[in-house]
Amino acid sequence: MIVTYVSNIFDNQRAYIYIWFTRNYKSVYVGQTNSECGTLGRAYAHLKNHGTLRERFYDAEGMPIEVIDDLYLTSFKLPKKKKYTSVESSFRLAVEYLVQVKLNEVRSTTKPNFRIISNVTYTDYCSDKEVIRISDNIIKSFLSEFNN
Amino acid sequence: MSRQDLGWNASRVLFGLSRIGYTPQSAIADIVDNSITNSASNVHVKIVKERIDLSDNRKNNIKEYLIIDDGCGMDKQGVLAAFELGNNDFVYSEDSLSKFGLGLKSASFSQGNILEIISSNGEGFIKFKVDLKTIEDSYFCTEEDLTDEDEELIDKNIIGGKGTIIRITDIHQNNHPSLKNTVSELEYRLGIIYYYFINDGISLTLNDELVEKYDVLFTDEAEQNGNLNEHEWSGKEVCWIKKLTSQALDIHSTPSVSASVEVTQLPHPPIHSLDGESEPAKIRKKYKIESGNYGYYVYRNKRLISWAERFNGLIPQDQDYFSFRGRILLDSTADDAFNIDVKKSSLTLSEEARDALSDLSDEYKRKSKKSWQRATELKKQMLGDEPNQIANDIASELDIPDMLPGEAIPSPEEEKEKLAREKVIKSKIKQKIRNEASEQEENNELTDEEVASYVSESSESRDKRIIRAKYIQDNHLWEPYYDDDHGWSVRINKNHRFSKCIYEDNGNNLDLQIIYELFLLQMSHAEVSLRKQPGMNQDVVEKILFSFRESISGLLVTMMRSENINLPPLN
Repeated sequence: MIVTYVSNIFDNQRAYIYIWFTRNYKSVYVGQTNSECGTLGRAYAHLKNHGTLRERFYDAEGMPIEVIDDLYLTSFKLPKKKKYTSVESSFRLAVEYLVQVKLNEVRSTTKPNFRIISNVTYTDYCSDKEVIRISDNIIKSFLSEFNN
Repeated sequence: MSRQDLGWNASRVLFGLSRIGYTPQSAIADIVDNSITNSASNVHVKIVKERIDLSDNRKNNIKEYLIIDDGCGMDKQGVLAAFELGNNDFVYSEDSLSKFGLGLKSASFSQGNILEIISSNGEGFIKFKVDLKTIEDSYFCTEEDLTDEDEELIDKNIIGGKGTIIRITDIHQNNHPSLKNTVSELEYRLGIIYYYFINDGISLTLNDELVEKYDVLFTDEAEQNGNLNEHEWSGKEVCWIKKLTSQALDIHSTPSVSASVEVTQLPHPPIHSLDGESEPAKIRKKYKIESGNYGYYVYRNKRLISWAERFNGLIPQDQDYFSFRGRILLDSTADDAFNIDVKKSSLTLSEEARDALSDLSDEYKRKSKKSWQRATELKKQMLGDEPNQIANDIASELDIPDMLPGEAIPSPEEEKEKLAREKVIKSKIKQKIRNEASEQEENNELTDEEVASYVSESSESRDKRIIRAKYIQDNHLWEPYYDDDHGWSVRINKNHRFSKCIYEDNGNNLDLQIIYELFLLQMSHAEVSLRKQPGMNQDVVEKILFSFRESISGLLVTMMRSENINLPPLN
């Protein structure tokens, strides 16, 4: 029996930034979602045939994602505000973009170093103070987990 | 397996080496590298004309190039090794500027047929010479006696009995650049190439003039002005896009390859035309802002190896990047990731390094381009030919009627009610903008001045009836606005995807932008007019109109995100 502990990371009112990572294959993938099923709901779309994470990993490593034996998913709640939870994704994309840019800058200081295999989109909300603060906090939390 | 030794023709090989594309500037710099590697504190570059009486502009009038240093010098064995091609006895240190053991020969013979080395390691000067015209099948040098001219050069330029003179003579006369051309290029190129060495105290002269260090990024100015904010940049200051940080370029090699990267944004010359017609030219000259000068300046062991490198399109060929100046600092560990050519003037990135640099550069490029475009817009605004300015000029001429066409004349009671309703609407708008400011500024106790300042600072267009706002709550496309100075106005969300389609994708279509803004101004007036109508439930009307705006804003976002449609501009 495999027991998977699903923590209380989603309810249908939230939006999230999530980061997949594997230390053994030194790869990191950043994404965002306002899916009602949270990041676990989004995970299926990433891992199914032609899923984005699956394809990006294959492009980067030339191997199917099944080779990874240490694939982790970290999720970060965004504020319960309409600008983050609405269909319009500009604010979520802005946080996602800043998280990826900042990860790119610290990846040489982590153990192990990693490459980023996701693609992100810039929006003008990247200079929004709240967006910057949220992305800084996400980086801080992620690094404490990744370097652990 | 049997081994067959193969011969080589010295004359042809040397001829080939001399034709790998050196200019006088790159050849001289390659030889100066040897001086620096050999611990020189003073390096003198002298270019002597053949006929002194002719103008410096005259081509094919160079007698000799001299590179003189007070480095550690060489004994006979050292000089002979320096003449050898790809000599194996040299063990290059980690921070050496040399790489292949070919630079001195290929650089010298690219400019002239005779290479002389005069050197002393403290035990007396010796002189050797290679004359290409005497080389046939085998390669050799001859030992020479010092001439009076040599002695004079030593006495004048080398103090302490140690140092080296490289002399290149019998200069090629096939369209050889003029003295003026070479000196003017070298003056500031040497200051850039050896920026770090001059900064560390090495003295470099060119025809007896001291070469000043030249920081292509103008980091001192950037340090004073801080980080670049692409939404607020005036176009006049040098700002940091990225302060110096170490970045991983190849994490899969062992050890992983990293480089230090820094990027600045130089001023936007066209916006200086507002200060005077000749100002843009002055700015271009001061900062050397030209098509051949933007991109990354790559330094290996503190020596420039690639000038304004764009890595085959990684920095696009586009005027919007003219102010982009980056610097990449490498050491010898990056040699495999950055394949450097013999003349140290170009490099080819490994795939991994290119991908990494491309990812990093995306953000730097975006900031640089956005800033350049903002400065261009600012200039238009100041000249009054910016579409928002034109739309506002038109709006200022508009009389907004109190009644809509066909509307019955209100009774005095109805007129009174309209005024009362208008007062409520104004108060609600004031409260709404206060909420938005509190949310954006993360402060719930803003003063009226702070709220006014928020409206002003969060808008491109201040003191206008048509305001391009950076943000509107719930990402609405527009909303009615009121202030005492301008009366009823409209705030347009310039970051809404539909607005971006109008303002950015169709940025060249000024008429479309003017019409768009006037249309939304009238939508705003219509909304306020309806909300003032007596006889209707004000709260219900407000909710309906709010939902209507929300619905349109959402539908337009959905349309913009659709992958199945092709929106203007269509070609």
